[in-house]
Amino acid sequence: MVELEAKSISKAYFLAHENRCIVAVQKLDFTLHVGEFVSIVGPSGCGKSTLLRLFAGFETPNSGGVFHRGDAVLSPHHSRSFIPQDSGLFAWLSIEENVMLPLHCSTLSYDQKREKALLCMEKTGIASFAKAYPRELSGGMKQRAALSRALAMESQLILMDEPFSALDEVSREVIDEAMQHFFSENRMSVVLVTHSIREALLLSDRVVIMQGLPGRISDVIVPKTPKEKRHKSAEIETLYEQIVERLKSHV
Amino acid sequence: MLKSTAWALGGFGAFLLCWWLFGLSVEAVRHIPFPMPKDILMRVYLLFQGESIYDTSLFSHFMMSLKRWMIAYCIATFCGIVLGVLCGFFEKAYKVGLHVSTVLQMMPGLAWIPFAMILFGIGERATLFMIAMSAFPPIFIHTASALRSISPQTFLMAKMMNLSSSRLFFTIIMPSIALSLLTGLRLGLAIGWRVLIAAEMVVGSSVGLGYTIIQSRWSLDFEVAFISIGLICLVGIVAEKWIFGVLEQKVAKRVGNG
Repeated sequence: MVELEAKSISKAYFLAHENRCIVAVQKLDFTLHVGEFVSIVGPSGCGKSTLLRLFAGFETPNSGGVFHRGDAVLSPHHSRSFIPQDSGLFAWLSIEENVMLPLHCSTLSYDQKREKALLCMEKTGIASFAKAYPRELSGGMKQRAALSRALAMESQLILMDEPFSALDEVSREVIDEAMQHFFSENRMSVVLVTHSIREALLLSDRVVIMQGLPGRISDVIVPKTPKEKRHKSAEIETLYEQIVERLKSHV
Repeated sequence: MLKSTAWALGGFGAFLLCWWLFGLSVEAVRHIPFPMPKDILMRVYLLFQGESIYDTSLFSHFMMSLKRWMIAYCIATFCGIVLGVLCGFFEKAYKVGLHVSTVLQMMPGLAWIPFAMILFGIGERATLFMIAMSAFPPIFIHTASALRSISPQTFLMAKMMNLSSSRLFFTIIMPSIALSLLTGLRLGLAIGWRVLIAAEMVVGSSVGLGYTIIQSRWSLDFEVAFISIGLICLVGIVAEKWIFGVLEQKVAKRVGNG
């Protein structure tokens, strides 16, 4: 079953100060299946984040269309959870309040909402920080809180824009591992935009390589080694070298 | 705490000393009496005993000024926030509103006298008009600009979470603009207070701190003028440090900037 589909989408921006247009994404086709984890890698400015925002409905394409489970994506919706680089948490709300925020539109009582929020926080291992404020947490913890919020929204599609870019390698690895279990357990479909090729190769079912200006998909890599065995896999190392070479040719 | 109190007391002592020395110099050069700290203290004591100033007690003068200030400030706050929110949400209205309010902000408080007199004649309403017109621009500008500066992503995130309009306003928008709004309110209050005193001197009725100051020109009762000036400063300090200072600290801490 198809979770998300982009059909020949293009997105251009007008740069007023330079009086010219830049094409961020050009005639791009993309398909994500239910429960699939796809990473998008590419050089800076190649349109990765724009693509993710188009998927989330935070931007609308100039031509073509994005479809989520068959419905056209025209604006943000709680069935698609977009997690920006800065985690998108509101600084003046505690983690618990942030996670509870999307639950306020439901008919649940306040206690039921709290209970559900706590459950979501337990799943991402952040429950002990429920009363903390985002500024008191590390980057990884904030991303876990954002994931809890996505879980509370009951979104089946998670769109993450370089979530762990601010983390050191070790913390990143630990969180990646936790994420992998979390997503497969909850059978969530994920699109991850990342600068880390290794992270993409370790986590993903497919790695999409983008090239920039105009932004388009230049290649798709499908690692064959099972995810749990990828850490010291020779295939991953070979693919890593391949992707680096391809990206170098695009820069 | 103890240290800051000691500094404040030291500063006050230095101020009294400067005042006394300055008074002595004026008396030596100009050969006229200058109200000294002890004269003022004595007069304050008498005023507390019930002595009236221009047929009204000091308390009534003070309360009248406060009342005018508060009424006009509430009007300015209401108009500033309502129009600021409207202009903050609509770009064209914002562009027009910003230009208009910038012009209004440039106008000295006393320049409103002719407008006030044409619209309301001489009296209470003219004073309120002048204060409200002077306090309005900072409140309006800070509200509208703060709203305009909220990242579009914030609204998209709110839409993604399916937040109701009221929850969006009170949970997301208000905390986002709270600090800037407080700055606008603080500026509005300070400008309003300064204009109040000036307006009472010119178009006010026969009660108010401004009136007591301007009357000293004819009565040569400078002690009362000095006491009124002291009260004006006191109100300014209370509003600035103890009300807005504390409020700003609390809000900054709450919204994550403290």
